[in-house]
Amino acid sequence: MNNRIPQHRILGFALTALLCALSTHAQPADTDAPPASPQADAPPAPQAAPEAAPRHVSQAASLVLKVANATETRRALTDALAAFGGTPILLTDDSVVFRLPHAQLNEAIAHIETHGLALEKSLDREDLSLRIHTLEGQLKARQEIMVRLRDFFTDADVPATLEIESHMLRLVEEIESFKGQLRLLNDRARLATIRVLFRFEDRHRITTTHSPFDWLNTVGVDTVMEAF
Amino acid sequence: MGNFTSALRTNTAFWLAALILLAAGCAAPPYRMDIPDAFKQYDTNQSLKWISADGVMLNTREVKNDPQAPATFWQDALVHHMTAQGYAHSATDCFTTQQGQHACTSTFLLPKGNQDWVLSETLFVGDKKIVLVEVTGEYARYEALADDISAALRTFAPNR
Repeated sequence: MNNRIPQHRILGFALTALLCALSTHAQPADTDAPPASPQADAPPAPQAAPEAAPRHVSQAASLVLKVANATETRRALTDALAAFGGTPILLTDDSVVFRLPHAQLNEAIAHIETHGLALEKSLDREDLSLRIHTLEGQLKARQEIMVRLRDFFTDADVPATLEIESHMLRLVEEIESFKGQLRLLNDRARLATIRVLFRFEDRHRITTTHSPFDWLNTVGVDTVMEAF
Repeated sequence: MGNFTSALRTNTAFWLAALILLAAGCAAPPYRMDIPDAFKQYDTNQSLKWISADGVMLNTREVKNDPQAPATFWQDALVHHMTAQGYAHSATDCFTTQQGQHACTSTFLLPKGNQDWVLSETLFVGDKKIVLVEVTGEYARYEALADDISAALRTFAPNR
């Protein structure tokens, strides 16, 4: 009776085995290899072809627009893109960033180009499906482990309870991290981003040109300021 | 003797009053406009000179209408010259003052440091001289006062 293995040791072995089993189960859906240790009560691996799954695509457009007045153009764009469901998420002196539905992206870009001379234009598309499915699988596996860990509390002594709690704490951190990443990716997949950078017209190069009419040579901002 | 003294006093009083009125007339700027609440006027007899708390400045000055030309000529010349210098022509607004004088305001934009600035030039063209009303300020600050300035310009009138 004295050389009996402590209960928390047994629980430790069980938890390790459980984590290993479920980690194997959390492989991405598009992995061809069958699970290493299929369990009787585990749901069958999805047999549907990966292309049947919904695609999650992010789109980010970037434009460099040559304008006469950045402040005025930014205000006009904010008003105009509201009609496309666009919302400004960042406003600076020389740029503005909008989020809007993917379906409106092309029309919105075409409209923005009417507000100035487009010097550069780029469109970046990224398929987020694999990253989202992988994260969803990992999240589901961690949540299943959490459910099973709760069952161990019934007969656990104090050391075992502490060990279970430490495992659960780590799992909670992982689950929250996966949820955060998923939220971010889903948001990128839900709305497109347009970044507009403003460049001034060449008017910033004020040159001194001589007019045959003398008084015109004295007209300018500096002349007004010098009077004060 | 009494009559002479009385006449002298009357004449002295008359000329003194005339001198005071003349001095008062000379001390006033040559033009007047209804000043918007946002502006304060400098005490000067040379020109109208206003400034707002956030630095929008208005000044008036005269130049010769030489060679003599109509307002449209000078307006075109102004826009061409300023555009050639690198200013962006934003708008031109022509109007008639309450006293029936025709005038045009041309607005130009230019970057100054990391800000956009506005220069507006209003020309009141007469036979011998052109009165310039010049306003400048940072874009957003100018825009906030643009309507007040426009309304004030419509009250422009010579003082003498």
